[in-house]
Amino acid sequence: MTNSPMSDPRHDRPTPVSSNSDAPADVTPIQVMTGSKSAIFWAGVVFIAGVALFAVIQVDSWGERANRLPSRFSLDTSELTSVDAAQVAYKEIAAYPVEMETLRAVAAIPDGGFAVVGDVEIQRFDESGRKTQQITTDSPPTCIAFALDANLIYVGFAAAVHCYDAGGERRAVFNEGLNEDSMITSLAVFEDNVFVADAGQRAVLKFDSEGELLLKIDEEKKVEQGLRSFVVPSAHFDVLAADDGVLRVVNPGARSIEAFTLEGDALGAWGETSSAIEGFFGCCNPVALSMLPDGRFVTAEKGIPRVKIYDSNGTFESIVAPPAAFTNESTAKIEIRDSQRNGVLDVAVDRDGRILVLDPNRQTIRVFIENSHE
Amino acid sequence: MDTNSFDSGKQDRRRFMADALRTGGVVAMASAGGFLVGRRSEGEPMVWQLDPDRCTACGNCATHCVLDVSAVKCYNCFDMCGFCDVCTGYFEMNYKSLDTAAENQACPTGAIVRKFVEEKSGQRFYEYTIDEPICIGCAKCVEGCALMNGSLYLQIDHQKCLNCNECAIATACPTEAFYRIPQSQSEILKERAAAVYQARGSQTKRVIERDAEQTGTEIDQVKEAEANELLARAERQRVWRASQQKGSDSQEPSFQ
Ligand code: SF4
Ligand code: SF4
Ligand code: SF4
Repeated sequence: MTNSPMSDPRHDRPTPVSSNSDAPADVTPIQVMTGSKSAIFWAGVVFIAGVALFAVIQVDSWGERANRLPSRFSLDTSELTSVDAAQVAYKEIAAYPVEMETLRAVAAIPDGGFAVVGDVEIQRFDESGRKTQQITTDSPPTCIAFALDANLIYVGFAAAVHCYDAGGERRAVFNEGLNEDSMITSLAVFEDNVFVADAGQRAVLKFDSEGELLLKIDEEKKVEQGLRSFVVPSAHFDVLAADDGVLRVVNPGARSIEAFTLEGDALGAWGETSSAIEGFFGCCNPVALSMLPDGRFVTAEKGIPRVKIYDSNGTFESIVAPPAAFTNESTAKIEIRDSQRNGVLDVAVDRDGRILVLDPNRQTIRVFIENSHE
Repeated sequence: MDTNSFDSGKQDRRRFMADALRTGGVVAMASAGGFLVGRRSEGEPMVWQLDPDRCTACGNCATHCVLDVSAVKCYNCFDMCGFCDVCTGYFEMNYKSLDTAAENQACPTGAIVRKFVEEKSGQRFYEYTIDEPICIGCAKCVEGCALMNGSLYLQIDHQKCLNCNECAIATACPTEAFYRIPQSQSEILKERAAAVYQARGSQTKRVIERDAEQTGTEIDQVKEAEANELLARAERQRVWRASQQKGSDSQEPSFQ
């Protein structure tokens, strides 16, 4: 802080001289310099002006750079955002707008169509993107899953799961084992069981259809099996229960996908930390996981938004949508303002094997199919 | 004396002259600025600060400060930080390996210190702190972290800032992110950081009150003071943002 009071220049002002002062006028004639004196005088003036200009350029408080640093320091993400076009094996065939401010999750409906949660709403759509149902919720929903017969809808909130019937009536609330630390981020249903990913507790909870807590896959359970715990640096923690009866959980901080039996016993893991296209980028990815009917995986990432396909063993196969599909191509600059940052993607696979990508920035569900598919 | 050392001596003298001039000019300007600022606000002294929610990491904070090493520095909001092993603020995008080799670091001056904290069930956690004297406020790390959690952000360090009458960075800032704020407030938190402080402060209070009740002991004074400090920081931000909101409803420019 340098705003301490100093000599007040107002006290140093020259005393005004009145024009009708009685003081004798100074009648000394002005001495005009000539010859070598003039040259020395003007050389002096030019020198002083030069020094002043130099000082101004050095200090330059009028907007130019004051130090000698390069003018830009941006991170270069070009290597990560540009992809080999030959690796993009999917094309976008439709984009269905969703009338919501904040879109959080998408889920396929077993008998066709899809549902989206966001704001304080659940919206249901048919295969052609036509809205067929809207349910208003008490608080912001974070995720959604359907029972196999599509008659029950499970919706996750921060610390509870609500179960609705097909008509939109709330039938049950699951909150056993959930607490003030909870932050539910994903749901999966297999037969009569509901699996709940809780990013706050870094655990997956298994409930029966009545809401009774059956199992908790948490740090304790994992350490017992010699596994590392779930590392969840941000509120993105996805769970998937596929038709093969295997539970898959994203361990985002470990950039891996872990497979479990429905009883929580580890079966294996895959995934590689890397900024290259084959791996998962940054501190915590992928943010979303789904499965194609043939057992291949679909993943979505944040930071460098991209959707990719891995085979059933976890080997990178192809790109569904490259980063350019989700970012404003006019600027390669990373947006750091929270209000302007890109929302995080979600993915689902519908009954027909189409990949549904929730794009919260365009407030749409974008539909992708394989290039070879007619 | 060989020619080289003569030349370097000349250069040193030149640099000395330039530095002397520059420093003299800066000090004079800062003094005048400080004086005027002092006069302008009758009550509490005002200082410059930047709003991280308006900052776009344009680089001007590093290049436009009148000081050789900018008074703008990077800060890490640890409550928002994931203590990530792969910190996208620390590592270059195309890092070769996850170690502290200079080629792997994004920071142009190596100002981020990566310290191993713990290994918990197979996962290693690291703390990232800023070596302030060598941070030039370039925001490269802020950009990197924004790809993930966004816990790194820029603020003016008032120990370094000359509090110029007209902050040269404010003049150059493309998003008008600079404000005059009361000295006692000194920081402008990200809105998200303020929300996190509010939540953590309230939660800590709830927990210490519950613990005291259950054990029949006194409330932990140290923890209570910490919680109150967090809540006060969040509250100062809330009040300041509300006043900005009110101001911007009635008038356009953000320079105060
Ligand atoms: S990327 Fe951000 S959140 Fe992650 S460790 Fe680095 S500073 Fe912390
Ligand atoms: S990258 Fe720039 S802003 Fe970040 S610590 Fe280094 S010098 Fe400071
Ligand atoms: S007020 Fe002056 S010293 Fe402080 S940040 Fe701005 S230009 Fe730098």
